[in-house]
Amino acid sequence: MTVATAYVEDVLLVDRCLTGEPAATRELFRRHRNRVHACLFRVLGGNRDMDDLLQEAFIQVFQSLRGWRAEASLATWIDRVSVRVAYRYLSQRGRRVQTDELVDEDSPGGEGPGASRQMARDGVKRLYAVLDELGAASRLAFTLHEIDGRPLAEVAGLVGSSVTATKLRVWRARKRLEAAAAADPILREFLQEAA
Amino acid sequence: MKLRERIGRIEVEPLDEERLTNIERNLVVRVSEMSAPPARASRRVLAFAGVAFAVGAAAGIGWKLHQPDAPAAEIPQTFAIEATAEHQSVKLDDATIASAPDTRVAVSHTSHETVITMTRGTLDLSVVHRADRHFVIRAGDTEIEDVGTTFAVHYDGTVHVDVRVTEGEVAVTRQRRSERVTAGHAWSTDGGLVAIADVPVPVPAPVAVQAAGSAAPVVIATASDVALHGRTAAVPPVGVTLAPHPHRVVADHPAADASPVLGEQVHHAPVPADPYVDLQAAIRKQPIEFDPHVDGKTDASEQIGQLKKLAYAPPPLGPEASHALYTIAVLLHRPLGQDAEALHTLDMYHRRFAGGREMHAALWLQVRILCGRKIDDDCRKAAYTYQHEVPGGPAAELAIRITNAQ
Repeated sequence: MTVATAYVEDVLLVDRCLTGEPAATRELFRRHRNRVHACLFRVLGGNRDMDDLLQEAFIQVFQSLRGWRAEASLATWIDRVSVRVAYRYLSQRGRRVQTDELVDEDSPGGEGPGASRQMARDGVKRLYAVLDELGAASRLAFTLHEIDGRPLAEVAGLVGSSVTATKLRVWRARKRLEAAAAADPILREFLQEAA
Repeated sequence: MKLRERIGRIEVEPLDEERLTNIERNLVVRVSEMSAPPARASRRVLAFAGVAFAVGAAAGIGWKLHQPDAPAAEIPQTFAIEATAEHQSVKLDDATIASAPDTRVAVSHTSHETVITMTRGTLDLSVVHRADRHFVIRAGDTEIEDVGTTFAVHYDGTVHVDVRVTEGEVAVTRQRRSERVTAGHAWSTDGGLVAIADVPVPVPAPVAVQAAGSAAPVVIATASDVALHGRTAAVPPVGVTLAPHPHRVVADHPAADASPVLGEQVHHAPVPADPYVDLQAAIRKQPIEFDPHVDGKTDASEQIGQLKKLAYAPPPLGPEASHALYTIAVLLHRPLGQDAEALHTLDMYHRRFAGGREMHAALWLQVRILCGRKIDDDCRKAAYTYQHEVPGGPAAELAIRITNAQ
C-alpha cells in the first residue's frame, strides 16, 4: 500500500468512525492496536493495567477523533494520544509503576536458552525498576528515544516539548541508568548482553 | 557505545486475542454511547421526576374529583367548500385556503388539527406552521402535510395530484412513501419530485359553470386563473370565515353576486407573514460562494468523483484539495440534495482546512443547509458561528437575524 493510499484510507476510515459506524470503530482499533500496545509497553514496561491503558488510549482516540485535521498521519496522531495516556498514568501513579513480575516459571537454572531468557527478563525488570525512579517526562523521553527507537525530534513532537529539553531529559535518564548499572551486576550484564 | 544500541528494542509481550476482543467490544459500546444522545437520566433526576409525577398525579386526581362537570373534548368544525365558478377564500386562524373554480373540498378543523379532504380542484394555501397543529390535505390516496409554507394543490378527482411549493416545505405521503417538497419544487403522482422550473406551464381546460336559472352550461375562459404556475398564495379579496359546527358553507351562487351567499363576510386582512418563511427565503436568496453551477445530477456525481481525487490527495494539503472538498459539499447540497452528506463533508473540511480560502463560504453553506428546512437550535448555532467568524461577511446580517429568531 502506498503512502497516498494509506492516507486516503485513513481519511475515509475516520470519516466512517465519526458517523458512529461500529465496523469502522473495530477496523480502526484492529489497524492500530499493535502499535499503541507496543508504544505503551515500551514506555511503561509489562504492566498489569495494560488492558485498561490500551482501552483508555483508544477511548481518547475516538473522543478526539474529530480533532484530527489530517495534517499529520493518523498513526502519528494516535501515537501522540497514546503518549498522553501514558504520561497521565505515570503522573497519577507517581513514579512507582506496577511493573509485572517477569518470572519465567519454566526456566531451568544454569546454562542454555531458558537461562538467558530469564536473564533478559531480569534485566528488563531491573531496567524498568530504574525507570520507575524517573519523572514522567524523563521516562517518556528516554523510553521513546532509546527503547522505542524514535528520533529526538519525533519524541519532542510527541511529548510536546523542545528538542533541546528532550535531549537533556534523555541524557539525565541515561546517566541515571548507567549509575544504577554500575551498582547492579544483573542490570550491567543485561545491558552488555543486549549489545 | 550508545545505550540504545545496547538495549535494542525490548520485545513486546503480545496481548492474547480474548483480551483484545474484550477491549474491542467495550470500545464499540463506549463509542456508540459517545455518539448517541444521553438516554439515561441520573438517579437524582429520576427520583425528582418520580416525586414530581406522584405529586402531579395526586393533584390531578383531586382536582378531577372536585370538578362537577369535566369539559367536553373539542368538537371539530366541519364544513365544505364547493366553488363552481369563482375563487373562494377561507381563513382558519393563521392559515388561508384559497380555492380555484371547480373545486370541492371538505374541511375538518380544530385548534390542533386541520384536515382538508379534496374531491377535486385546486387550492392555494398559505399556512403559518405551528408545532402544536397538524395541517394536512388529503387528495385521493395522497396526503400533503404542511411544514410551514405557501403552496398549491391540484387534484383532478381521479388519481392525479399536483403539489407546487412556492415557499417553505411540505411533506407528501402516498402509498406509504413520504417525500419532502421544498420551495421551488413540485411533486405530482406522475412525475414525482421535480423543480418547478422544469414543469411545463399547464394549459387548463375552460371551466364549465351552470349559470343560475339557465339550463345550458356557460363556458368561462378563466384558464389563467386556474393555472398554478408561478402563482403565489395571494388571498382573493372576498372569502368566507368559518361558521360554527355544523354550519355548511356552499359557495355555489349566481355570478352576479360577488359575495358568498352563506357564511360570514370576512374582513380583508392580509395573510399574516410567517417570519420563518421570510427568513428561509432570504437564506435561499443568499448566493453560494464558489458555486460550480452544476445542474444535472449525473454531471454532479461525475464531478464529485473527480474532485475526490484532489480532495483526498496526500499531504501537504494544497488549496486545490481545500477547494475540491468544499465544492463536493456544494454539489452534494445542490443539485444532489444529499444534505446530510454535505454537512458531513463540511465537517471534514473544517477539520482539515481550518484556515482554508473557502472557510467563510463553508460556514455559510452550513447555515444554508441547516436553516433551509427548519430554524432550530442547530441552525441558530451555525448562524451564530458564522456571525462571529465572519462579522463582515456577505451574510453577516442575515446570520444575526437567524441567531435572534425565536
